[in-house]
Amino acid sequence: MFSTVDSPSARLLRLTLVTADGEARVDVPAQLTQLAMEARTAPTSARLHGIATTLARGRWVPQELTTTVQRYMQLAQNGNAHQRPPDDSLRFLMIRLGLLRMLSDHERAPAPPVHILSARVELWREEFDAHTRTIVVRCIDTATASAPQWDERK
Amino acid sequence: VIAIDDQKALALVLLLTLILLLLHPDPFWAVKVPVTVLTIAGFAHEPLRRTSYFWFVIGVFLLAGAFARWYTTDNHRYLMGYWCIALSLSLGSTEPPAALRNNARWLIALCFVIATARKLASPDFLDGSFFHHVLLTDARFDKLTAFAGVTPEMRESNLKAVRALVQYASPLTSVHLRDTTAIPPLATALTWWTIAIESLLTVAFVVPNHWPVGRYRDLVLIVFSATTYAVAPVVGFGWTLLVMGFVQAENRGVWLRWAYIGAFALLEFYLLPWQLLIDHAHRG
Repeated sequence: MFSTVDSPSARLLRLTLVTADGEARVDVPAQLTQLAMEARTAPTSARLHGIATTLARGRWVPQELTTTVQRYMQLAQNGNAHQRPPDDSLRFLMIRLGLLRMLSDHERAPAPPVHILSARVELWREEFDAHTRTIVVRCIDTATASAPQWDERK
Repeated sequence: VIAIDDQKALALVLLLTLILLLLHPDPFWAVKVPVTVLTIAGFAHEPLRRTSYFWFVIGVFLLAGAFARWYTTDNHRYLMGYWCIALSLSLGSTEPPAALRNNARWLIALCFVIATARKLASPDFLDGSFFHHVLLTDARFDKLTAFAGVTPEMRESNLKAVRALVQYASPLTSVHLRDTTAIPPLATALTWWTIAIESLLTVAFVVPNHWPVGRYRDLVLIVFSATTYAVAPVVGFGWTLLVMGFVQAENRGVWLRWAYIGAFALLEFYLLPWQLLIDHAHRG
């Protein structure tokens, strides 16, 4: 209500996937945009846990790095735009950089999904110190969810 | 000057509300499309816009859209919905002009009671931090901060700082913003001006009509709109308040309702790209 620094736009979510290859910070997937906005507007443990559970249950693959022209050429040749999966070293790097994408429910995986162990969601809140002109963020709530067994998910 | 009596004011406020709905529509398609269609129908057919049901349907669309997307809805979207329901109830009453005046007055009063209470209860508003933060991070205040010496480079630096902090993979827990020595006093001035004018508005709309401060409520509302929306151009909000102010003004003065109409135009005038025009004039 234009009366305090603490507003939905001053709250942020930091999402972490714990994988077999280490932790990866990821962006909010498109499927969770609404739930993420709800969690920022009216934060509750249930909402954060809901996001963590969806992240942990999701199938994650490295993002496809391609140009528009390459994508067109692949579509023209094969009728599908999926590129060759990245090799192991690039895949490892992409996981560490969080360059991952959560597949939608019925989407075919273009590469082997990343082995997710658990997901962590942190809600951070901005505060402004007018004397030092500094915006500080503090973690005010966390939720964690374990992934289902790898075999179950496959 | 031709006085705008209550009957003329009633006819005009229906048109002004339709203009408000067309110029500042809810961006959500499920609200925007039906409300725009209804609005056009209301313009085309006067008897339709004078019916209670017409405004009830528009109000339901506005409020359903606002509540369905509560996590992203701006405050004034609710107010616009309440206003259309108030129009509906007033048009269905035995004395529409009087009912409308009452509803408009108390909607404005409630708005400012809640807004003022929330500000007075907020420590970071009272100590000036809120406006200091807003001046450095909210692009809507760029024109104002330019007068306080904030350069485009400083704005860019602040924008990048905030983006770096909120980027999904950011390891940062703090960032430093750049400002000038004029920003803290400007933030303090804005804080106390806002508290003063909103408190005055609250009192002016709550006290009985014949009290001295009650007699000047229109002047206070017009000054509030002319100053607030010059700085923060949330024109849809300003228009909603002015529509309600216009109809509750009664016949306190021949000029009064014309002053409201002038204020509508002023708010649109604020949307001109002033910085661009000034730069253009400087370049000759």
